[in-house]
Amino acid sequence: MSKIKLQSSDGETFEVEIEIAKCSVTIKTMLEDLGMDEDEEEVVPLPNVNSAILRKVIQWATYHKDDPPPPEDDENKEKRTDDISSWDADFLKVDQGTLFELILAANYLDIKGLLDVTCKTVANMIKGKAPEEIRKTFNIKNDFTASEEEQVRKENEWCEEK
Amino acid sequence: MEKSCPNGNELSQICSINEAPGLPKQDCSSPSPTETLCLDSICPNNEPGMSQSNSGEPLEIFNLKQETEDDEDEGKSQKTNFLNELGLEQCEDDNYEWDHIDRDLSEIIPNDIAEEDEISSCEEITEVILPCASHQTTPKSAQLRRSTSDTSDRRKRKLDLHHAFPNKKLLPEGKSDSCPLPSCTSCAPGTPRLLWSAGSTPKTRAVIPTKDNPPPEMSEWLTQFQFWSNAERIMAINELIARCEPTQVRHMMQVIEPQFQRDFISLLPKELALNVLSFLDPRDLLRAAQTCRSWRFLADDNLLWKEKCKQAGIDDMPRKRCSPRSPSTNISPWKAAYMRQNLIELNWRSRPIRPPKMLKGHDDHVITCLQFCGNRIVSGSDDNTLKVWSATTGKCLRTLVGHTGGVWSSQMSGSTIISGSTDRTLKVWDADTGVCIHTLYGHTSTVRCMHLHGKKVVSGSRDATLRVWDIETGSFLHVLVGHLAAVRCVQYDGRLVVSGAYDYMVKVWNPETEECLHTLQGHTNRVYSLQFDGVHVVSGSLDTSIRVWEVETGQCKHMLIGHQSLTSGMELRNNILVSGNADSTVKVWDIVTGQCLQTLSGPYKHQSAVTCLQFNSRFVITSSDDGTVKLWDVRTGDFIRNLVALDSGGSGGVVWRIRASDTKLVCAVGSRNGTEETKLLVLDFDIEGGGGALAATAR
Repeated sequence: MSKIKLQSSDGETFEVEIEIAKCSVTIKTMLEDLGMDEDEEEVVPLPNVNSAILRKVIQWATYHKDDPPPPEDDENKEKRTDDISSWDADFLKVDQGTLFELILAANYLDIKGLLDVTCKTVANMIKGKAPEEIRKTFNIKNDFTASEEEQVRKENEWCEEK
Repeated sequence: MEKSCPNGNELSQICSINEAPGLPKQDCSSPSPTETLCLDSICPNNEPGMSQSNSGEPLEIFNLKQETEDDEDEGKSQKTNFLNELGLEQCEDDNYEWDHIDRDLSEIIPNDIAEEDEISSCEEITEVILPCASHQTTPKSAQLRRSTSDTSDRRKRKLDLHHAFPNKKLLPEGKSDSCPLPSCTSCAPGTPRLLWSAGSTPKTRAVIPTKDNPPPEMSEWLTQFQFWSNAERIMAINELIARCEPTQVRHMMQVIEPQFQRDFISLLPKELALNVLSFLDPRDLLRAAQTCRSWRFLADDNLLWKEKCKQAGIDDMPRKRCSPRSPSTNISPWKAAYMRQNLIELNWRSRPIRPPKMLKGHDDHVITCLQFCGNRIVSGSDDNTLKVWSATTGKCLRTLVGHTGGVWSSQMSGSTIISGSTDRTLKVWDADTGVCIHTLYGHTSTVRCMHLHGKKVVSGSRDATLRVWDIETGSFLHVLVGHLAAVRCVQYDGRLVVSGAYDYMVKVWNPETEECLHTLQGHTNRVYSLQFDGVHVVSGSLDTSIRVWEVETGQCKHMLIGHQSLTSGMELRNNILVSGNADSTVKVWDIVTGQCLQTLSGPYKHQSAVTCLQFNSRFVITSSDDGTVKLWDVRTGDFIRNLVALDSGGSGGVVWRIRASDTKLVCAVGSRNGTEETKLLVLDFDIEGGGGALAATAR
């Protein structure tokens, strides 16, 4: 299996199987468009991903290398968040800062599966919570004025009725 | 002493400390470095630091105290803060005595600050403290003196104590070589009543370190830390944590945790934040919108709500805002549409039902057919007339007079109404003017059923034929001959005609060629009801079965078994069939698999034959001879509630027909025995005040 070198923003180099690296559409396109020869000892620079995050991304991609391609989004279908595999759930037991950077990295590297599962994880952190609980979870300052808050509450209150 | 009390400024701070109640008490028992031994002896009592004074007689303390409520409160919180800072907790029961002691001391202190200078060594302090612990038993004068000494000493110890936090090297006399704080049993398992919050101290106190007033040795300590390598720092941190009390570790966590929190929605690029939000259901989105401004902005995103609308089956382009409740807000149109839809659903499902409009007419005759579209209701009756009503005002706008026999079938499209009668004719009416535009002659018996598509209407008659007419010109186009008995039901999709008859047959016709393409044989009794979606023909019969046929091949795909009697009405949409039966039940079927998905029965089921039904993606509405209209959950099959329950139900009052829009329900009710006057009931489930404007828009 041929390998490729990926270099993180802080200069660390990772040697990765090319098939694993290609789960990143960004890298895949880069290789194809630039005609990078797989045999060459070239290093793909990833200036937007630091080594800690890149290591996580590679770990994820390695585990998921044999996954079937993720299905296209159907906007008419309700999106589920309860279908995160236990491996992914464990993998994403990280602090919010790391999760945040993973989302950015998944987006930059264009890895749909990782982007989906990280976004779902954040969504699950929001789900079922009252506004104050959400603020606490993410350390958000309530910047509504009292009257704004009242109006916003009124606008959105029916969700509490059933 | 000079080190801890270097200047006059600090002296004034001392004054203010001393004036404050609460602090002195700490000193009596304070786990100051100089008192380590003393504290150790206290700890087994589980009374943090105060065991000595607690053990004594409190009465004399009371004599010295001066009641001030405010002071007491402040003293308490000071004390608690301090205790927590020390990793100590107090029992509620202790408060009383402690506070009195505090006050006792604090009153005395200010006058004696000058004496501070007299105290010159730690040994002396220690000596003074020890008696203090039992000062309540000493004569008052002696106590005063001691308290004073104690106070100044306390200040010193206090400072030392704080120095001791960052660096044990500063501990006086090197007495404590382990943690200077009591390894108190009292603080570990208990639940802290108040957590010490840094910087919350209301008044200036030298003893509580602040940014402006840090312990003098701290910067040195930190500088040292900064010199270390990463590994050294980590080691130091580990050692520091190991020496911390649980409350301090918890404090650390509280300080550190927010640094790892991320406000994803505000900080991520918009499209990523929206991607996260797209995984939320509407209820969570509404809660998210109440979090803060930036969340609100994103959680109100129009395309996000468009997606939610699509998922909920709301395909309408958002209507013009009509809710007077939020007239000025620039709420996203799709969100508004979603919210409106949900409010309406709540109105159907659970909110109090507003009193229905009563549209009286047709005297004591039967209403045989009902049409409802937009703001227009048309009722046909065996009194030979049809009436056009306004759904909003409830007024009878027109009475269509002309038939010479009872009206038994009708269709409506725009302002055109078509009616079929026992007088063997069809009539085409202009609903706005009430004028009969055409009378269609040809059938030789009652026109019992019809189906309009475009400008063509197909009528079925007791004469066993079907006829196709052009309603614009009023001309007869085709006749479909082949049935052997009365045609009871017909469906026309513009291409094919499907008819069910009393000869037990279902026939598929090509109206243009007047050719019967298929005769669907299988029913063993009269066919009363039909549905046709262009692919499947579904027929309901008096033989109790429902059959699903393939229109192209004429094959019977499924026989839906389960009903006990005549299937009187059916509705088919997206391969889901809902059938109402004279056995008083309603069934929901999947016509592809032939499975019965739900049976709407149970304890709240209809008590008599089901007369009519309608369903959408959420509800099934059913009417019955028992005088009720019931609402059911189409997915679960659960009974939701009665939308109508006639008082005369069971004694003659019946609901003949129902028609519903998203927001309104029209019921034709009456009786055969005079117990219930013939009328239409119009129930409005629209959002409050939106009904009129909406109906007008719909028109």
